[in-house]
Amino acid sequence: MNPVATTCSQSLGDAPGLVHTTSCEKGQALAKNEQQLIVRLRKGDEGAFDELVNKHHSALIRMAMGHVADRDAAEEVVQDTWMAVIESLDRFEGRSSLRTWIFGILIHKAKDRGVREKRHTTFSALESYDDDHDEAVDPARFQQSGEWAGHWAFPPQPWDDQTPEKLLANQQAVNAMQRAIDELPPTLKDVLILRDVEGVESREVCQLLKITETNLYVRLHRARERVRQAVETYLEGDRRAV
Amino acid sequence: MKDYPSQWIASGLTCRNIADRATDYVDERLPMRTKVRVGLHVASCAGCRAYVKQLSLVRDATALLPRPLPSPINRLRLRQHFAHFHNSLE
Repeated sequence: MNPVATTCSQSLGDAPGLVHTTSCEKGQALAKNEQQLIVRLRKGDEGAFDELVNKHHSALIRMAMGHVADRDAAEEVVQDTWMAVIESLDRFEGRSSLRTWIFGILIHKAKDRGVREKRHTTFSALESYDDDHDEAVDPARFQQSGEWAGHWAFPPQPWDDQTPEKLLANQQAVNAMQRAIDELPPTLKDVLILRDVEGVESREVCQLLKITETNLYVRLHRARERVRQAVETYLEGDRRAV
Repeated sequence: MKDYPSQWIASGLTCRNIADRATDYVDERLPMRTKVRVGLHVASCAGCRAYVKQLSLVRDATALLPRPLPSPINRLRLRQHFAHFHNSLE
């Protein structure tokens, strides 16, 4: 069965609408491109392999860094992942997307390496902490009592005419975002990279990380908020300097 | 941007409620009724409007972050392994 067709019918059943139809068509186009890529890879087309590496390498590195000690170890884990992809490509059955399959291999290898580095205790502690506690937005930013309790005491200031492109044209803003992502605990980093960097559908992220959709969006919100805070701190510092 | 506090009351939601659900709102995951209430609050509250816009902008910018490539030596090793593995299958 075509996995994309299943996704489309499920989405339309859940909530009919233009948005779903459009994302469904986009999904079908992606699946077609992926099938073509797999055919090229199986024929030994080095250009196709380069394309695949260029597309996913940096996200794999960022994700691996959440599980292992340092950048060098992350590079090794990702290199091992690519080797495993090459060797297992003929056994890829298409039950998930190629991208999800590759990230699944990475997660397995990175966790395994992390355990060998004896860092698993720390990760378990972080996971339970992130899942159960910790509000996304600092509670001190809201009024604590009075008529307007729960409303902003320190509201975010508008970022004027910022767009993603303008923000990314500023190297210091990019550094602030990348630092914030690098510093995320693995549970938050995994969802941010899969969902926002790689654009993996929520259903696939949940399967890959073995979490519920509610849990996914709780984590995603916390991760986005930490990156937003980093940009806010940078932009406000920049304003004060002017 | 002006605030219209009477609308905050009409929405039945505080800014903290909005901040908690902002990702669900920008990713269009809220049920219609809740979406309308959040929309009413956001339209009348400058702080929440700024927050929701910022979260959405960060989400879109994250997708466009620069993507570093493998080192030349690792790239070469991968290409060689790919070519060698494929040739060994033929």
